[in-house]
Amino acid sequence: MAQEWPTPSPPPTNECVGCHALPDIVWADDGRYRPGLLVTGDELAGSVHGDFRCTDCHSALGATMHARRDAARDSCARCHEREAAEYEEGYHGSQGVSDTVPKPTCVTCHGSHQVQPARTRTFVHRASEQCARCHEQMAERFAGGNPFGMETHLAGVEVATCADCHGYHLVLPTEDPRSPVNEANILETCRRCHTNAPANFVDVQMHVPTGAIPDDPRLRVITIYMLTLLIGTFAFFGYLTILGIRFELRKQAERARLRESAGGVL
Amino acid sequence: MSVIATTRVREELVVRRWSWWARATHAVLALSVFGLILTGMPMHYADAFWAEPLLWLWRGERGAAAVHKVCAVGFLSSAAMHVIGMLLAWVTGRWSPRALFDEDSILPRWRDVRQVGEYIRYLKGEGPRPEFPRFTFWEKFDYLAEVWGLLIIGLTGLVMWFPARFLAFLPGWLVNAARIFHSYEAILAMGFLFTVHYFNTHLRPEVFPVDEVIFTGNIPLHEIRERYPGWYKRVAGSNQVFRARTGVGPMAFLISAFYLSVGFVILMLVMTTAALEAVRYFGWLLTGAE
Repeated sequence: MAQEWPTPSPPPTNECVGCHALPDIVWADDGRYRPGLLVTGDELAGSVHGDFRCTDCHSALGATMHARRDAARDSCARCHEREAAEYEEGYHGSQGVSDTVPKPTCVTCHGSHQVQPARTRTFVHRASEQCARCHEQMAERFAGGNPFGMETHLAGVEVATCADCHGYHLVLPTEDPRSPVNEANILETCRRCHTNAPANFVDVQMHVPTGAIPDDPRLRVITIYMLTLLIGTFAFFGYLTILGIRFELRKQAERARLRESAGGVL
Repeated sequence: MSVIATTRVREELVVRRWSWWARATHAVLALSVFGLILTGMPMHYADAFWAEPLLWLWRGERGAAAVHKVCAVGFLSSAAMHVIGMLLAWVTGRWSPRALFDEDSILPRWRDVRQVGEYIRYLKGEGPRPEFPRFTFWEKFDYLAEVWGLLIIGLTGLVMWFPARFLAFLPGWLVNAARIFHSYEAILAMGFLFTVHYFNTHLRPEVFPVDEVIFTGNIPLHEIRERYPGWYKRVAGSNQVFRARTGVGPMAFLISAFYLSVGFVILMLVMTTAALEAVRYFGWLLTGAE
Protein backbone atom coordinates (compact mmCIF):
# COMPACT_ATOMS: atom_id res chain seq x y z
CA MET A 1 0.00 0.00 0.00
CA ALA A 2 1.56 3.26 -1.07
CA GLN A 3 1.61 5.86 1.64
CA GLU A 4 2.07 9.60 1.25
CA TRP A 5 4.93 10.79 3.44
CA PRO A 6 5.36 14.46 4.34
CA THR A 7 8.24 16.14 2.53
CA PRO A 8 11.23 16.24 4.90
CA SER A 9 12.77 19.54 5.89
CA PRO A 10 15.96 20.69 4.11
CA PRO A 11 19.05 18.50 4.66
CA PRO A 12 20.92 18.77 7.94
CA THR A 13 23.58 21.44 8.15
CA ASN A 14 26.06 18.99 9.71
CA GLU A 15 26.05 21.07 12.85
CA CYS A 16 25.17 18.11 15.06
CA VAL A 17 27.22 15.52 13.20
CA GLY A 18 30.23 17.81 13.55
CA CYS A 19 30.50 16.71 17.19
CA HIS A 20 28.50 13.49 17.20
CA ALA A 21 30.64 11.78 14.58
CA LEU A 22 33.76 12.18 16.76
CA PRO A 23 34.64 8.90 18.47
CA ASP A 24 35.18 10.64 21.84
CA ILE A 25 31.52 11.58 21.96
CA VAL A 26 30.69 8.20 23.49
CA TRP A 27 32.04 9.54 26.79
CA ALA A 28 29.21 11.76 27.92
CA ASP A 29 29.58 14.82 30.18
CA ASP A 30 28.88 12.70 33.26
CA GLY A 31 31.78 10.44 32.28
CA ARG A 32 29.59 7.49 31.38
CA TYR A 33 29.88 5.39 28.25
CA ARG A 34 26.96 6.20 25.93
CA PRO A 35 27.59 4.58 22.55
CA GLY A 36 24.24 5.91 21.33
CA LEU A 37 25.72 9.41 21.16
CA LEU A 38 27.95 8.45 18.28
CA VAL A 39 26.16 9.15 14.99
CA THR A 40 28.18 8.61 11.86
CA GLY A 41 27.50 9.79 8.36
CA ASP A 42 27.54 6.15 7.18
CA GLU A 43 24.69 5.25 9.46
CA LEU A 44 22.64 8.16 8.23
CA ALA A 45 23.46 7.52 4.60
CA GLY A 46 22.17 3.94 4.81
CA SER A 47 18.95 5.02 6.48
CA VAL A 48 15.62 5.60 4.83
CA HIS A 49 15.54 8.82 6.90
CA GLY A 50 18.98 9.86 5.67
CA ASP A 51 17.79 13.17 4.29
CA PHE A 52 16.09 14.29 7.52
CA ARG A 53 17.30 17.10 9.70
CA CYS A 54 18.41 15.92 13.15
CA THR A 55 15.77 18.11 14.73
CA ASP A 56 13.00 16.52 12.68
CA CYS A 57 13.12 13.65 15.16
CA HIS A 58 15.03 15.23 18.05
CA SER A 59 12.50 18.01 18.16
CA ALA A 60 12.99 18.93 21.81
CA LEU A 61 16.60 19.87 21.04
CA GLY A 62 15.53 22.83 19.01
CA ALA A 63 14.80 25.08 21.97
CA THR A 64 16.68 23.48 24.83
CA MET A 65 19.86 22.20 23.26
CA HIS A 66 21.11 19.23 25.31
CA ALA A 67 19.07 20.36 28.27
CA ARG A 68 17.25 17.09 28.58
CA ARG A 69 18.01 13.60 27.45
CA ASP A 70 15.68 13.56 24.56
CA ALA A 71 14.06 10.35 23.44
CA ALA A 72 13.32 10.90 19.79
CA ARG A 73 11.08 7.86 19.79
CA ASP A 74 7.94 9.90 20.45
CA SER A 75 8.64 11.66 17.18
CA CYS A 76 8.03 8.52 15.14
CA ALA A 77 4.32 8.83 15.89
CA ARG A 78 4.14 12.24 14.24
CA CYS A 79 4.46 10.60 10.82
CA HIS A 80 3.74 6.94 11.60
CA GLU A 81 0.46 7.63 13.33
CA ARG A 82 -1.34 4.36 12.61
CA GLU A 83 1.67 2.21 13.55
CA ALA A 84 2.15 4.14 16.78
CA ALA A 85 -1.50 3.70 17.72
CA GLU A 86 -1.33 -0.04 17.04
CA TYR A 87 1.86 -0.28 19.05
CA GLU A 88 0.31 1.52 22.03
CA GLU A 89 -2.62 -0.88 21.93
CA GLY A 90 -0.47 -3.99 21.63
CA TYR A 91 1.42 -5.84 24.32
CA HIS A 92 4.76 -4.21 23.58
CA GLY A 93 3.36 -0.71 23.97
CA SER A 94 1.15 -1.27 26.96
CA GLN A 95 3.24 -3.57 29.16
CA GLY A 96 6.65 -3.07 30.65
CA VAL A 97 8.53 -6.34 30.50
CA SER A 98 9.81 -6.05 34.06
CA ASP A 99 11.10 -3.42 36.44
CA THR A 100 14.59 -3.62 35.03
CA VAL A 101 13.78 -4.26 31.37
CA PRO A 102 11.84 -1.35 29.88
CA LYS A 103 9.17 -1.95 27.28
CA PRO A 104 10.42 -2.15 23.72
CA THR A 105 9.93 0.95 21.59
CA CYS A 106 10.06 1.67 17.86
CA VAL A 107 13.87 1.84 17.85
CA THR A 108 14.24 -1.45 19.73
CA CYS A 109 13.17 -3.30 16.60
CA HIS A 110 13.72 -0.79 13.81
CA GLY A 111 16.95 0.80 15.01
CA SER A 112 17.36 4.55 15.13
CA HIS A 113 19.75 6.36 12.84
CA GLN A 114 20.18 3.43 10.51
CA VAL A 115 16.42 2.74 10.19
CA GLN A 116 15.52 0.59 7.18
CA PRO A 117 12.27 0.21 5.26
CA ALA A 118 10.54 -2.88 6.67
CA ARG A 119 10.15 -4.59 3.31
CA THR A 120 13.83 -4.76 2.45
CA ARG A 121 15.79 -7.95 2.42
CA THR A 122 18.08 -6.73 5.18
CA PHE A 123 15.19 -6.01 7.51
CA VAL A 124 13.31 -9.27 6.92
CA HIS A 125 16.61 -11.08 7.15
CA ARG A 126 17.03 -9.85 10.69
CA ALA A 127 13.39 -9.79 11.72
CA SER A 128 13.36 -13.04 13.68
CA GLU A 129 16.68 -12.17 15.27
CA GLN A 130 15.19 -8.90 16.45
CA CYS A 131 12.42 -10.82 18.25
CA ALA A 132 15.01 -13.25 19.54
CA ARG A 133 16.90 -10.54 21.40
CA CYS A 134 14.18 -10.72 24.04
CA HIS A 135 12.30 -13.94 23.21
CA GLU A 136 15.41 -16.05 23.41
CA GLN A 137 13.80 -19.38 24.12
CA MET A 138 11.33 -19.05 21.26
CA ALA A 139 14.05 -18.12 18.82
CA GLU A 140 15.96 -21.22 19.74
CA ARG A 141 12.79 -23.14 19.00
CA PHE A 142 11.94 -21.32 15.81
CA ALA A 143 15.29 -21.55 14.11
CA GLY A 144 15.65 -25.30 13.95
CA GLY A 145 13.25 -27.99 12.92
CA ASN A 146 10.19 -26.00 11.97
CA PRO A 147 8.98 -25.50 8.44
CA PHE A 148 10.16 -21.90 8.16
CA GLY A 149 12.96 -21.43 10.63
CA MET A 150 16.02 -22.26 8.61
CA GLU A 151 14.94 -20.33 5.55
CA THR A 152 14.18 -17.33 7.70
CA HIS A 153 17.88 -16.71 8.15
CA LEU A 154 18.34 -16.37 4.43
CA ALA A 155 15.01 -15.38 3.24
CA GLY A 156 13.94 -12.91 0.76
CA VAL A 157 10.91 -10.87 1.72
CA GLU A 158 8.54 -13.71 0.96
CA VAL A 159 9.54 -16.03 3.75
CA ALA A 160 7.54 -16.02 6.97
CA THR A 161 9.12 -14.54 10.08
CA CYS A 162 7.70 -14.28 13.61
CA ALA A 163 5.82 -11.13 12.66
CA ASP A 164 3.99 -12.70 9.74
CA CYS A 165 1.98 -14.88 12.09
CA HIS A 166 2.13 -12.96 15.38
CA GLY A 167 1.65 -9.49 13.96
CA TYR A 168 4.09 -6.65 14.41
CA HIS A 169 2.96 -3.28 15.72
CA LEU A 170 -0.21 -4.67 17.25
CA VAL A 171 1.45 -7.62 19.00
CA LEU A 172 -1.09 -9.36 21.23
CA PRO A 173 -0.93 -12.32 23.59
CA THR A 174 -2.20 -15.57 22.08
CA GLU A 175 -5.21 -15.54 24.43
CA ASP A 176 -6.45 -12.25 22.99
CA PRO A 177 -9.25 -13.02 20.50
CA ARG A 178 -7.82 -10.38 18.14
CA SER A 179 -4.43 -12.09 17.93
CA PRO A 180 -3.76 -13.69 14.55
CA VAL A 181 -2.40 -16.74 16.35
CA ASN A 182 -5.45 -17.07 18.60
CA GLU A 183 -7.05 -20.46 18.19
CA ALA A 184 -10.02 -18.92 16.41
CA ASN A 185 -7.90 -17.04 13.85
CA ILE A 186 -4.95 -19.30 13.25
CA LEU A 187 -6.26 -21.14 10.17
CA GLU A 188 -7.13 -17.83 8.59
CA THR A 189 -3.57 -16.68 9.32
CA CYS A 190 -2.13 -19.75 7.57
CA ARG A 191 -4.42 -19.09 4.62
CA ARG A 192 -3.00 -15.62 4.11
CA CYS A 193 -0.14 -17.39 2.31
CA HIS A 194 -1.32 -21.00 1.89
CA THR A 195 -4.63 -20.02 0.32
CA ASN A 196 -5.86 -23.60 0.06
CA ALA A 197 -4.75 -24.75 3.52
CA PRO A 198 -7.01 -27.52 4.90
CA ALA A 199 -8.22 -27.44 8.51
CA ASN A 200 -5.43 -29.56 10.00
CA PHE A 201 -2.79 -27.17 8.65
CA VAL A 202 -2.84 -25.65 12.12
CA ASP A 203 -1.51 -28.89 13.59
CA VAL A 204 1.90 -28.39 11.96
CA GLN A 205 4.23 -27.50 14.82
CA MET A 206 5.81 -24.12 14.29
CA HIS A 207 8.09 -24.03 17.33
CA VAL A 208 9.95 -27.30 17.21
CA PRO A 209 13.01 -26.93 19.43
CA THR A 210 16.36 -26.67 17.73
CA GLY A 211 18.63 -29.55 18.36
CA ALA A 212 18.54 -33.13 17.46
CA ILE A 213 15.94 -34.48 19.88
CA PRO A 214 12.52 -32.79 19.71
CA ASP A 215 10.04 -32.87 22.61
CA ASP A 216 7.17 -34.39 20.66
CA PRO A 217 7.35 -38.18 21.23
CA ARG A 218 6.56 -39.01 17.59
CA LEU A 219 9.22 -36.67 16.24
CA ARG A 220 11.55 -37.94 18.94
CA VAL A 221 11.19 -41.54 17.72
CA ILE A 222 11.80 -40.49 14.11
CA THR A 223 14.86 -38.46 15.05
CA ILE A 224 16.40 -41.23 17.13
CA TYR A 225 15.69 -43.74 14.35
CA MET A 226 17.37 -41.55 11.73
CA LEU A 227 20.32 -40.78 14.01
CA THR A 228 20.83 -44.47 14.69
CA LEU A 229 20.70 -45.24 10.98
CA LEU A 230 23.16 -42.44 10.27
CA ILE A 231 25.65 -43.36 12.97
CA GLY A 232 25.26 -47.10 12.37
CA THR A 233 25.85 -46.83 8.64
CA PHE A 234 28.93 -44.67 8.97
CA ALA A 235 30.31 -46.70 11.86
CA PHE A 236 30.03 -49.92 9.85
CA PHE A 237 31.41 -48.57 6.60
CA GLY A 238 33.99 -46.48 8.44
CA TYR A 239 35.25 -49.68 10.10
CA LEU A 240 35.43 -51.46 6.73
CA THR A 241 37.26 -48.49 5.19
CA ILE A 242 39.86 -48.42 7.95
CA LEU A 243 40.41 -52.16 7.56
CA GLY A 244 40.64 -51.64 3.80
CA ILE A 245 43.24 -48.90 4.08
CA ARG A 246 45.32 -51.00 6.50
CA PHE A 247 45.06 -53.93 4.09
CA GLU A 248 46.18 -51.80 1.17
CA LEU A 249 49.14 -50.34 3.10
CA ARG A 250 50.27 -53.80 4.22
CA LYS A 251 50.09 -54.98 0.63
CA GLN A 252 52.21 -52.05 -0.56
CA ALA A 253 54.78 -52.62 2.19
CA GLU A 254 54.96 -56.29 1.32
CA ARG A 255 55.53 -55.46 -2.34
CA ALA A 256 58.26 -52.95 -1.50
CA ARG A 257 59.98 -55.51 0.72
CA LEU A 258 59.88 -58.15 -2.03
CA ARG A 259 61.24 -55.71 -4.58
CA GLU A 260 64.08 -54.79 -2.22
CA SER A 261 65.08 -58.37 -1.51
CA ALA A 262 64.92 -59.14 -5.24
CA GLY A 263 67.18 -56.14 -5.86
CA GLY A 264 69.66 -57.51 -3.31
CA VAL A 265 69.90 -60.80 -5.17
CA LEU A 266 70.45 -59.04 -8.45
CA MET B 1 49.75 -45.30 -14.56
CA SER B 2 46.07 -45.93 -14.46
CA VAL B 3 45.63 -42.59 -16.23
CA ILE B 4 47.77 -43.73 -19.15
CA ALA B 5 46.17 -47.14 -19.20
CA THR B 6 42.67 -45.78 -19.35
CA THR B 7 43.25 -43.10 -21.94
CA ARG B 8 44.87 -45.59 -24.29
CA VAL B 9 42.19 -47.22 -26.36
CA ARG B 10 42.68 -50.96 -26.35
CA GLU B 11 40.67 -54.06 -27.14
CA GLU B 12 39.98 -56.76 -24.60
CA LEU B 13 37.48 -59.32 -23.39
CA VAL B 14 34.61 -57.68 -21.55
CA VAL B 15 31.17 -58.36 -20.12
CA ARG B 16 28.25 -55.94 -20.31
CA ARG B 17 27.59 -54.68 -16.76
CA TRP B 18 25.40 -51.65 -17.41
CA SER B 19 23.05 -51.20 -20.38
CA TRP B 20 22.99 -47.79 -22.07
CA TRP B 21 19.64 -47.17 -20.39
CA ALA B 22 21.11 -47.91 -16.95
CA ARG B 23 23.99 -45.52 -17.67
CA ALA B 24 21.58 -42.82 -18.80
CA THR B 25 19.58 -43.37 -15.61
CA HIS B 26 22.76 -43.05 -13.57
CA ALA B 27 23.67 -39.82 -15.38
CA VAL B 28 20.26 -38.26 -14.69
CA LEU B 29 20.45 -39.44 -11.08
CA ALA B 30 24.00 -38.16 -10.52
CA LEU B 31 23.28 -34.77 -12.03
CA SER B 32 20.03 -34.22 -10.14
CA VAL B 33 21.42 -35.48 -6.82
CA PHE B 34 24.32 -33.05 -7.23
CA GLY B 35 21.92 -30.21 -7.89
CA LEU B 36 19.84 -31.24 -4.89
CA ILE B 37 22.86 -31.33 -2.60
CA LEU B 38 24.31 -28.03 -3.80
CA THR B 39 20.99 -26.26 -3.30
CA GLY B 40 19.62 -28.18 -0.32
CA MET B 41 22.66 -28.14 1.96
CA PRO B 42 23.03 -24.33 2.08
CA MET B 43 19.30 -24.08 2.80
CA HIS B 44 19.55 -26.63 5.61
CA TYR B 45 22.70 -25.13 7.13
CA ALA B 46 21.50 -21.61 6.46
CA ASP B 47 23.62 -19.97 9.13
CA ALA B 48 26.85 -21.75 8.22
CA PHE B 49 29.57 -19.49 6.82
CA TRP B 50 29.47 -21.21 3.44
CA ALA B 51 25.71 -21.00 2.96
CA GLU B 52 25.48 -17.52 1.47
CA PRO B 53 28.43 -17.88 -0.93
CA LEU B 54 26.95 -21.14 -2.19
CA LEU B 55 23.52 -19.58 -2.59
CA TRP B 56 25.12 -16.81 -4.64
CA LEU B 57 25.62 -19.50 -7.30
CA TRP B 58 21.86 -19.84 -7.55
CA ARG B 59 21.15 -16.12 -7.34
CA GLY B 60 19.87 -16.37 -3.80
CA GLU B 61 17.62 -18.68 -1.88
CA ARG B 62 14.72 -18.34 -4.28
CA GLY B 63 16.88 -19.44 -7.16
CA ALA B 64 18.18 -22.29 -5.04
CA ALA B 65 14.66 -23.37 -4.16
CA ALA B 66 13.68 -23.34 -7.84
CA VAL B 67 16.75 -25.36 -8.87
CA HIS B 68 16.07 -27.75 -5.98
CA LYS B 69 12.61 -28.44 -7.37
CA VAL B 70 13.83 -28.89 -10.93
CA CYS B 71 16.42 -31.36 -9.67
CA ALA B 72 13.74 -33.08 -7.58
CA VAL B 73 11.83 -33.75 -10.78
CA GLY B 74 15.04 -35.13 -12.31
CA PHE B 75 15.59 -37.27 -9.23
CA LEU B 76 12.09 -38.77 -9.42
CA SER B 77 12.50 -39.18 -13.20
CA SER B 78 15.57 -41.34 -12.67
CA ALA B 79 13.43 -43.63 -10.51
CA ALA B 80 10.80 -43.70 -13.23
CA MET B 81 13.52 -44.45 -15.83
CA HIS B 82 14.72 -47.36 -13.71
CA VAL B 83 11.23 -48.86 -13.44
CA ILE B 84 10.41 -48.21 -17.11
CA GLY B 85 13.70 -49.79 -18.15
CA MET B 86 12.89 -52.94 -16.20
CA LEU B 87 9.36 -53.11 -17.60
CA LEU B 88 10.57 -52.61 -21.19
CA ALA B 89 13.25 -55.24 -20.79
CA TRP B 90 10.66 -57.61 -19.35
CA VAL B 91 8.15 -56.96 -22.16
CA THR B 92 10.77 -57.45 -24.85
CA GLY B 93 11.95 -60.65 -23.19
CA ARG B 94 15.52 -59.46 -22.45
CA TRP B 95 15.01 -59.69 -18.71
CA SER B 96 12.65 -61.41 -16.31
CA PRO B 97 11.81 -60.68 -12.67
CA ARG B 98 12.99 -64.23 -11.99
CA ALA B 99 16.50 -62.84 -12.41
CA LEU B 100 15.98 -61.00 -9.13
CA PHE B 101 16.28 -64.30 -7.33
CA ASP B 102 19.24 -65.88 -9.11
CA GLU B 103 22.86 -65.99 -7.99
CA ASP B 104 23.89 -62.67 -9.50
CA SER B 105 20.83 -60.66 -8.47
CA ILE B 106 21.28 -57.22 -6.93
CA LEU B 107 18.86 -58.16 -4.13
CA PRO B 108 20.53 -59.25 -0.89
CA ARG B 109 20.57 -62.87 0.21
CA TRP B 110 22.01 -64.75 3.20
CA ARG B 111 25.27 -65.26 1.39
CA ASP B 112 25.88 -61.50 1.55
CA VAL B 113 25.61 -61.51 5.33
CA ARG B 114 28.11 -64.36 5.46
CA GLN B 115 30.43 -62.52 3.09
CA VAL B 116 30.51 -59.47 5.39
CA GLY B 117 32.25 -61.61 7.99
CA GLU B 118 34.44 -63.30 5.38
CA TYR B 119 35.49 -59.97 3.94
CA ILE B 120 36.44 -58.57 7.36
CA ARG B 121 38.55 -61.69 7.99
CA TYR B 122 40.13 -61.24 4.55
CA LEU B 123 41.05 -57.61 5.26
CA LYS B 124 42.56 -58.70 8.56
CA GLY B 125 44.66 -61.22 6.66
CA GLU B 126 42.92 -64.22 8.22
CA GLY B 127 41.23 -65.71 5.21
CA PRO B 128 40.75 -65.73 1.44
CA ARG B 129 38.81 -63.07 -0.44
CA PRO B 130 35.11 -64.00 -0.49
CA GLU B 131 33.71 -65.33 -3.75
CA PHE B 132 31.77 -62.19 -4.50
CA PRO B 133 28.94 -62.51 -7.02
CA ARG B 134 28.15 -59.87 -9.62
CA PHE B 135 27.40 -57.37 -6.85
CA THR B 136 29.27 -57.26 -3.54
CA PHE B 137 27.34 -56.65 -0.34
CA TRP B 138 28.39 -53.00 -0.22
CA GLU B 139 27.28 -52.51 -3.82
CA LYS B 140 23.92 -54.06 -2.96
CA PHE B 141 23.71 -51.77 0.06
CA ASP B 142 24.52 -48.86 -2.24
CA TYR B 143 21.66 -49.80 -4.54
CA LEU B 144 19.10 -50.50 -1.82
CA ALA B 145 20.07 -47.36 0.09
CA GLU B 146 19.38 -45.47 -3.10
CA VAL B 147 15.94 -47.08 -3.48
CA TRP B 148 15.12 -46.46 0.19
CA GLY B 149 16.53 -42.95 0.12
CA LEU B 150 14.62 -42.09 -3.00
CA LEU B 151 11.36 -43.22 -1.44
CA ILE B 152 11.97 -41.31 1.79
CA ILE B 153 13.42 -38.16 0.25
CA GLY B 154 11.00 -38.12 -2.66
CA LEU B 155 7.87 -38.60 -0.54
CA THR B 156 8.85 -36.19 2.24
CA GLY B 157 9.99 -33.66 -0.34
CA LEU B 158 6.58 -33.80 -2.04
CA VAL B 159 4.87 -33.36 1.34
CA MET B 160 6.87 -30.16 1.93
CA TRP B 161 6.37 -28.99 -1.64
CA PHE B 162 2.58 -29.43 -1.58
CA PRO B 163 1.66 -29.29 2.13
CA ALA B 164 -1.95 -28.28 1.51
CA ARG B 165 -2.57 -31.25 -0.81
CA PHE B 166 -1.11 -33.77 1.61
CA LEU B 167 -2.60 -32.33 4.79
CA ALA B 168 -6.04 -32.74 3.23
CA PHE B 169 -5.74 -36.38 4.25
CA LEU B 170 -2.66 -36.58 6.51
CA PRO B 171 -2.21 -35.24 10.07
CA GLY B 172 -0.29 -31.99 10.51
CA TRP B 173 2.67 -33.35 12.50
CA LEU B 174 3.73 -35.31 9.41
CA VAL B 175 5.04 -32.08 7.89
CA ASN B 176 7.42 -31.82 10.84
CA ALA B 177 8.25 -35.49 10.47
CA ALA B 178 8.87 -34.98 6.75
CA ARG B 179 11.35 -32.23 7.49
CA ILE B 180 13.29 -34.42 9.93
CA PHE B 181 13.30 -37.45 7.59
CA HIS B 182 14.25 -35.33 4.59
CA SER B 183 17.26 -33.63 6.13
CA TYR B 184 18.73 -36.63 7.96
CA GLU B 185 18.23 -38.87 4.94
CA ALA B 186 19.87 -36.24 2.73
CA ILE B 187 22.90 -36.03 5.00
CA LEU B 188 23.08 -39.83 5.15
CA ALA B 189 22.81 -40.14 1.38
CA MET B 190 25.36 -37.42 0.72
CA GLY B 191 27.81 -38.85 3.23
CA PHE B 192 27.42 -42.32 1.75
CA LEU B 193 27.80 -41.16 -1.86
CA PHE B 194 30.87 -39.02 -1.30
CA THR B 195 32.68 -41.55 0.86
CA VAL B 196 31.64 -45.18 0.50
CA HIS B 197 30.37 -44.95 -3.08
CA TYR B 198 33.31 -42.87 -4.29
CA PHE B 199 35.94 -44.88 -2.47
CA ASN B 200 34.64 -48.15 -3.80
CA THR B 201 34.30 -47.03 -7.39
CA HIS B 202 36.43 -44.20 -8.77
CA LEU B 203 38.89 -43.87 -5.90
CA ARG B 204 40.09 -47.48 -5.90
CA PRO B 205 43.85 -47.42 -6.60
CA GLU B 206 43.44 -49.73 -9.60
CA VAL B 207 41.04 -47.46 -11.46
CA PHE B 208 41.64 -43.95 -10.04
CA PRO B 209 40.52 -41.38 -11.14
CA VAL B 210 37.59 -42.89 -12.99
CA ASP B 211 35.86 -46.26 -13.09
CA GLU B 212 35.30 -46.74 -16.81
CA VAL B 213 32.42 -49.10 -16.42
CA ILE B 214 29.87 -46.34 -15.87
CA PHE B 215 30.92 -44.72 -19.16
CA THR B 216 31.46 -47.75 -21.40
CA GLY B 217 29.05 -50.12 -19.70
CA ASN B 218 31.58 -52.92 -20.09
CA ILE B 219 33.74 -54.49 -17.42
CA PRO B 220 36.96 -56.26 -18.48
CA LEU B 221 37.00 -59.97 -17.79
CA HIS B 222 40.26 -59.78 -15.84
CA GLU B 223 38.67 -57.29 -13.50
CA ILE B 224 35.76 -59.66 -12.91
CA ARG B 225 38.22 -62.40 -12.03
CA GLU B 226 39.84 -60.23 -9.37
CA ARG B 227 36.81 -58.50 -7.94
CA TYR B 228 33.89 -60.87 -8.49
CA PRO B 229 35.30 -64.42 -8.47
CA GLY B 230 31.84 -65.91 -7.94
CA TRP B 231 30.47 -64.14 -10.97
CA TYR B 232 33.60 -64.99 -12.95
CA LYS B 233 32.92 -68.71 -12.51
CA ARG B 234 29.49 -68.28 -14.03
CA VAL B 235 30.32 -65.78 -16.73
CA ALA B 236 33.75 -66.84 -18.02
CA GLY B 237 33.45 -68.83 -21.21
CA SER B 238 29.76 -67.97 -21.59
CA ASN B 239 28.31 -66.11 -24.53
CA GLN B 240 28.20 -62.95 -22.40
CA VAL B 241 31.90 -62.39 -23.00
CA PHE B 242 32.77 -60.39 -26.06
CA ARG B 243 35.64 -58.40 -27.47
CA ALA B 244 35.34 -54.64 -27.29
CA ARG B 245 37.36 -51.48 -27.27
CA THR B 246 37.85 -50.14 -23.75
CA GLY B 247 39.21 -46.88 -22.40
CA VAL B 248 37.55 -43.51 -22.04
CA GLY B 249 38.40 -40.05 -23.34
CA PRO B 250 39.32 -36.87 -21.47
CA MET B 251 35.65 -35.91 -21.13
CA ALA B 252 35.12 -38.78 -18.69
CA PHE B 253 38.08 -37.53 -16.62
CA LEU B 254 36.67 -34.03 -16.53
CA ILE B 255 33.25 -35.26 -15.45
CA SER B 256 34.77 -37.50 -12.82
CA ALA B 257 37.13 -34.80 -11.55
CA PHE B 258 34.23 -32.37 -11.27
CA TYR B 259 32.03 -34.74 -9.29
CA LEU B 260 34.84 -35.96 -7.05
CA SER B 261 36.22 -32.54 -6.16
CA VAL B 262 32.97 -30.65 -5.74
CA GLY B 263 31.55 -33.58 -3.80
CA PHE B 264 34.55 -33.68 -1.52
CA VAL B 265 34.45 -29.94 -0.81
CA ILE B 266 30.76 -29.85 0.03
CA LEU B 267 31.16 -32.98 2.15
CA MET B 268 33.92 -31.34 4.18
CA LEU B 269 31.88 -28.17 4.68
CA VAL B 270 28.79 -30.08 5.78
CA MET B 271 30.77 -32.42 8.01
CA THR B 272 32.44 -29.50 9.79
CA THR B 273 29.14 -27.75 10.37
CA ALA B 274 27.36 -30.96 11.40
CA ALA B 275 30.16 -31.80 13.83
CA LEU B 276 29.95 -28.36 15.43
CA GLU B 277 26.19 -28.74 15.66
CA ALA B 278 26.49 -32.19 17.19
CA VAL B 279 28.83 -30.82 19.85
CA ARG B 280 26.33 -28.05 20.54
CA TYR B 281 23.41 -30.46 20.95
CA PHE B 282 25.11 -33.52 22.37
CA GLY B 283 28.07 -31.92 24.10
CA TRP B 284 26.37 -32.57 27.42
CA LEU B 285 26.75 -36.29 26.76
CA LEU B 286 30.52 -35.83 26.86
CA THR B 287 30.84 -33.31 29.64
CA GLY B 288 27.97 -34.57 31.75
CA ALA B 289 26.81 -30.99 32.27
CA GLU B 290 23.27 -29.99 31.38
